[in-house]
Amino acid sequence: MTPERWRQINELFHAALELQGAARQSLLDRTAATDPGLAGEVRSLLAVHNSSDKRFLEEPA
Amino acid sequence: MAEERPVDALLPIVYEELRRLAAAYLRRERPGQTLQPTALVHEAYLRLMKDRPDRWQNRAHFCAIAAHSMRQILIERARARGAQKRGGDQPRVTLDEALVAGDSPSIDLVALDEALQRLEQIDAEQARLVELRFFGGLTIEETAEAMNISPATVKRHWTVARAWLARELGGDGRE
Repeated sequence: MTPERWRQINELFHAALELQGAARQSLLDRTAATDPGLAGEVRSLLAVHNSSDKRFLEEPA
Repeated sequence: MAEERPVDALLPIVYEELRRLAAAYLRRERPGQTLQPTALVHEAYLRLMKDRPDRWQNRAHFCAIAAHSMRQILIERARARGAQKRGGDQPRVTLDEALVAGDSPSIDLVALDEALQRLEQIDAEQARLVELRFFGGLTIEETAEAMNISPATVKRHWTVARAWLARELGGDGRE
């Protein structure tokens, strides 16, 4: 992955996080139409964000 | 980064003090006794501050340096333990086994270190931020101060970096 790609992923991730339900889906679907890789990457990170242990890294070493 | 040079100069001092403190604790180690890295960082801060207060801008400045040293010490120890256990296999040691932290969920420190090195390639600022928060025990506000960015920016970076690292460390970040 390049820093530029990671920056795009970050932007879409935060934009999607600010939306709920259908609006979030719609944003990701629209992105997927032109850049499926980007949408897939962000969907995957959102899934981890929502399902991972809330304590992960939150308690310092 | 602007603070790179003074940090470089102070790093060996902090590293040695933390190593010394960690070794002293580990000599007294008994079953069930735990050693908390953030407590060590705090103790090192008190000692070094007393010694030469003029060297440190503030606690965030100190912790930023200590975080990097603590990461090195924890990873060295995790690798040593892993090598001992598995006779030279790729070490895979959790935080609990490596030093430690009482009730925190176990994290494969060597895998985390490797993932952080990959993150550093694509986003050095996020990698540093994770180091400060996880290995230095800095709060969002202290991290913002140490990195000279806003707390809101710290939170944004933290959220995405944490999700990425959870995925890198084995799927969904559950233990």
